[in-house]
Amino acid sequence: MDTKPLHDPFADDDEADQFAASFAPTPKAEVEQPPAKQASAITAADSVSAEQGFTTRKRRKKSTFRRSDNFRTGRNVPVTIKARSEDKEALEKIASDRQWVNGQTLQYALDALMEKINDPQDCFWETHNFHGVD
Amino acid sequence: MPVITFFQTKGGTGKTTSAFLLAEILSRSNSVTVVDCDPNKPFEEWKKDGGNGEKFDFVTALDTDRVPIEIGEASGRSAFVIVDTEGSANQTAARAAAMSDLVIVTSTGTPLDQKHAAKAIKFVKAAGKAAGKEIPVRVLMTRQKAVGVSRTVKAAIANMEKSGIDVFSSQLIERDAFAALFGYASLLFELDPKQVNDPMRAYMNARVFVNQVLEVLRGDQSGQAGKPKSKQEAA
Repeated sequence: MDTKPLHDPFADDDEADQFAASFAPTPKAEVEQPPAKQASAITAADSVSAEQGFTTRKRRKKSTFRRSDNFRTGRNVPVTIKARSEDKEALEKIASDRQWVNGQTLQYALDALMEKINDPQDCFWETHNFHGVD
Repeated sequence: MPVITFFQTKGGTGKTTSAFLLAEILSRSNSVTVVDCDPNKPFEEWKKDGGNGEKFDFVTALDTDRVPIEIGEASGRSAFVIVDTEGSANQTAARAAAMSDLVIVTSTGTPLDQKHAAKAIKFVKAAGKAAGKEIPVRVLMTRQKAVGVSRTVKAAIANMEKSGIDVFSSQLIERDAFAALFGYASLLFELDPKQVNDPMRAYMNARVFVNQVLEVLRGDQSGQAGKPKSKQEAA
């Protein structure tokens, strides 16, 4: 009497295994140009993922150095000058009254002076007529 | 030659386990390389924990620019390339999915998983459209109860079918044996029945899933995406 053999679940599934075995690696010639073949897929993936808010683990390249990245005011150079003590006090008073820093006050003072220099007819020069070293 | 990517923008949906099972079973018939794009490096960890005897190769590729190259190189070495991606919406996974012959989106059926599954599927369809090719995508329900189906899962499957999304009729059951693959750093074929409940059933479960993957690829080869068989047929 024929008895039905016990099904062995660990035995290979012939049909599926044969189909799985029918695949082969991509020929070398095609592998050597994956970027060309897949370029459109990669470009599409990048644009769609960017649209859909996908994140990237790629390190962002540092943008070109801008002064404001590190020095927000740009005033980062120490200036040591010999001056009259009353000028030093005046500079500090103007700054502290307006809650400016000394560098800012100096900057405004220089801007104002440039305006005067550019206008030789200004009445300022009537009282400040310097010739050479004062 | 086929590149099969497990893609889901949410973690904990069984991508790595499913990829491992597919790799293990396919590697019994043909050459397989797994490209592991998950920064947790689960395949490397499995190996470090003492995993051995696997017939598949694996490479870890985390860099976005490196992934297409690794997939290309793996295609030249192996008949099957399986890509396991990180569970987040990231560009590396996106690139891998766009380069694939089949994308498998895993979901446990919870509303949150479904939401992310929809996001992943939309991405694959949009990327395929932009690249001028159709990328077959299937949903695999994972971590399912062995007995009974919750209303949430039923509704999730019904919604997907209504939207024309193909769902594998086989589901991966939440099994001790699947968890043990990484717990004991073992292969499914080498799990000790004294330590783990019913590895044979786990194998059967995984085998049906693998057969359905092959069905889809067969459909693709003949020019039509293989529709998954019914549960009874698949079993």
